[in-house]
Amino acid sequence: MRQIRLADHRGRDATCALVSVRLPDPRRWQDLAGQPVHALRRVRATAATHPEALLTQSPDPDDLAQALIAGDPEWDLRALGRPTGPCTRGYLDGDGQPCYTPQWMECRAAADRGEPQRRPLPMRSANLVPATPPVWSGVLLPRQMLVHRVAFARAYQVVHQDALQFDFLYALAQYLHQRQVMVQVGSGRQGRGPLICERNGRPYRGFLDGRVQGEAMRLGLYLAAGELTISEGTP
Amino acid sequence: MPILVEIDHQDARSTLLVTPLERLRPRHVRRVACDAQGRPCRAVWQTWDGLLLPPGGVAQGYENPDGHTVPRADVVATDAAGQPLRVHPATTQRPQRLEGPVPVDELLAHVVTKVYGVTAERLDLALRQSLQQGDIYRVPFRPRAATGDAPAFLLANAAGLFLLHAAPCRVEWVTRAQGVAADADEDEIDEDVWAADALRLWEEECV
Repeated sequence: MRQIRLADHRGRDATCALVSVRLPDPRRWQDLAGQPVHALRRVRATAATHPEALLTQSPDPDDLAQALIAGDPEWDLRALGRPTGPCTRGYLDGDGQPCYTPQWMECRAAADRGEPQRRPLPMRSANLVPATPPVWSGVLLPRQMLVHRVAFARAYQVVHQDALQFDFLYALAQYLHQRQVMVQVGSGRQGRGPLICERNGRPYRGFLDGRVQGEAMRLGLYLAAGELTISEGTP
Repeated sequence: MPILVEIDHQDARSTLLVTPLERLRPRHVRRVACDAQGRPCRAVWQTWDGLLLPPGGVAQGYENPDGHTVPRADVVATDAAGQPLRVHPATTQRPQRLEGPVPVDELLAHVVTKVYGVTAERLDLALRQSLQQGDIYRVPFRPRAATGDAPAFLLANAAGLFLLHAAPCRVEWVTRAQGVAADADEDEIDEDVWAADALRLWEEECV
């Protein structure tokens, strides 16, 4: 379960749980006879029988044609057609061999269509639960203004795992509810830096929206990737 | 590619040209996994027994419980009770009626999946004034036929007009005694997004 370390207006902080707010897809799938169907992936070619691998082994088309006729190297009868099952991700290096520790580079195309510039990318860790206590940003923005400025691409519900956390979250939700505002949450010394939910993930600006209704409360964390502006490249 | 959207509001018709906004990461910048010699790596799937499946090495299909392959054209979407769902036609072919103004909370009950910049070819004056005052309108928006109903929200700010395609979400009320159950299939925090991106490209390449 995801967690986030939040600070409130009273200078307290707590690590609370985040749960998805996405609604489950209610759709089911069936065939024309009314039987349920499911999606399935089957092996069509492996790294050894893939056309590119065969071309690497036999660069000359005539040799490749002869090899295909003579030995059927494009078929791996033990693997062909079988369900893939659960898979993990992997990488092949330039020689087609497994590469277990690839280095990530940022390739930026040159304006003159020349050689792209490359630079290694540093690892960017998730920062929802920082080691140091987070800071209350104090940036309170009316909901009406905020939804006109940013598009919330992700949302989570902040929930408690024990009664003390509930009291902390309830007070925070009540503070926001009374003022009808959302508060920016983020990283850094001012609490306004980007939130990164996953390792190497996209940085987001986070905003908390709180409501209370009697003894109940709801606290949503909304993540915005950018502002609503028309960039120069858009017609 | 721009999409032409016609909307009716208070017996007046407006014509909008909506264009997906550029992704935040410029297209000329790509993240590439490289090997020790600096050569680009290829993303592959690895099966549980070590089989490496390169792009194009997987065939995707549908099967029934008997193990028989079902053609894609014979697969229909149903609700939980097994009743076939109605396929709603694309909304780009006919005028759509605006709903609203809707409260901000309705927009906050959705997650934006795509942002479109809007060029108004013809915009009703009353609608323009309403949008400039900060009103938000909801409009059915399906670029292609679909069974689900994912609405879009039309709003304006100083930078222009925007159409936000959104998917519904739900933030529940919780009390001290009652929590919210976490999804079992929720994505993990250790998910490496660069690698996920590489696999997404891999899958696009497969299609």
